[in-house]
Amino acid sequence: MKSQETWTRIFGRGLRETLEKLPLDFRDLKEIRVRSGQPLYLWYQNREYTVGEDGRMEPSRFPGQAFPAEREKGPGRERERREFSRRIVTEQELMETVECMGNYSLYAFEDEIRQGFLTVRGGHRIGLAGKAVTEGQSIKTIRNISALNVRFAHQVRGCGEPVLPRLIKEGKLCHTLLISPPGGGKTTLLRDLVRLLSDGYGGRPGASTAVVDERSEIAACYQGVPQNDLGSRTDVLDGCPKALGLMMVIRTMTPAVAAVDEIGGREDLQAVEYAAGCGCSVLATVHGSSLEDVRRKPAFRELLDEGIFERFVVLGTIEKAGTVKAVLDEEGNEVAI
Amino acid sequence: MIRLLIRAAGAVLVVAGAAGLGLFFSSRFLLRLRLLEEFRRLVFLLKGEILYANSSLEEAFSRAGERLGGPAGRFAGQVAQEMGLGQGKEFCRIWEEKMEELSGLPFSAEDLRQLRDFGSQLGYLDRQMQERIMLLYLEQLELSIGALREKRKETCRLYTGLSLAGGLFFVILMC
Repeated sequence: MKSQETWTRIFGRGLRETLEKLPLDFRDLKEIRVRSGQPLYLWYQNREYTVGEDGRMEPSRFPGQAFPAEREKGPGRERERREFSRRIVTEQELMETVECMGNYSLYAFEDEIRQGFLTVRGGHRIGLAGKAVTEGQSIKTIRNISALNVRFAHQVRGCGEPVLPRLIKEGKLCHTLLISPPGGGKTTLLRDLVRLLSDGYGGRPGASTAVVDERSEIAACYQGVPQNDLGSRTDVLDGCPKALGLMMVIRTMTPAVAAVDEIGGREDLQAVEYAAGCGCSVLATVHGSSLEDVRRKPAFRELLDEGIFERFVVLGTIEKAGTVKAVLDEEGNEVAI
Repeated sequence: MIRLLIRAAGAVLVVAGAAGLGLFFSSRFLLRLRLLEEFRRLVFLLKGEILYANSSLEEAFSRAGERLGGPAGRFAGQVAQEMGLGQGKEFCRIWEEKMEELSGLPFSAEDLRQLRDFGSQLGYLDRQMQERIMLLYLEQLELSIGALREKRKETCRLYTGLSLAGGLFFVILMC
């Protein structure tokens, strides 16, 4: 288990003190929402909690909703409920936290901020909201940041083991697309598949694997060194745009497997097509709730019609992150082991 | 006779002390000049790290500190170390704290104000802004260094000369 002290280091002092008081198991912590002048919310054990001033957490309630039955019981519950004082985040605390998350160097995250997020040490992703400064049609930066969504990255070793045998055809890894809604666990699964392929599994030898980690989420590189275990035969190109990076690693590192996260733009798809045509297997992820959902995206439709991807792994929703709903072949049929 | 010898010894000691004082002040003056030059080198290194390598402040200060050595290098190293502790302090606070450790060095109040202003604006906004902040500070340093270099000889001469003259004057008065 990652210690509480380690992950709370990305927060400013005020919020850190509050978070360190909470009885949390980091493995079950998915998200923290920080909004200026609003209570602090956590997504923990697949449920939203409101954080209290005194280090307590209450399951969030919505107007008209009663406390969960199990929490209603017990002497003094009424008094306890009344005394629960929500921890309100101040503007100063939010600014302190932004500074800490940016390692006092927001300028170094200029390109990421333009896209609305930061990736911090450990591979955790911080979504940002505030005042967008635009120049023509593009966003120049985000100023007056007023809300943060801290999404914690977890390395779940072994989560790819039940899936991987279904992605192999005639001894070779199929070009595979992992599909899930945001927070559905596709990056976690991708990370573990890369590790298994790189180190070898079930008597299968390891293969040279290249990861193009544009947002530093897969390997969580810090000063160029992966913080997550991606296997001993994995080369990581960190912070490089996917389209450029894929072409580059294929030419320079000659991988047997190339992995990228969250493909979407036309250039990404062209790069995937190029990589697939170079003899290496491609592992990629995309946002969507089903294969049909992905097919509805114009650029993807062309790619899917060409039959480049041979396997589709559809994952569960945010409530059941990491749950594999189906593994499909190019014709949309379920693949058995 | 003995009295005369004692007087002569006292006079020599006073003159030597005054000359020493003059040397001390001129060495402080030269040390200030050397420190400002070191800080200018530090800013050059930071500029390279930040603008061309897109390093974070912690990395930039740590690398620049290692390369530079001396008081400026130590200062940079300490700032990087404090940032690395991840205590959740704001950068300007870390900067202020580490600046206190420079209090024994012969900086003028103006030098310290410029250094404080430089630190309070670092890390903020985009790379362009960082470049401007560093260029502004470099310009201020150039001006200070230029002024000090210009009057280096005469100031050193003045310190030693005045001290010696002061010592001699004191000896004459006492005699």
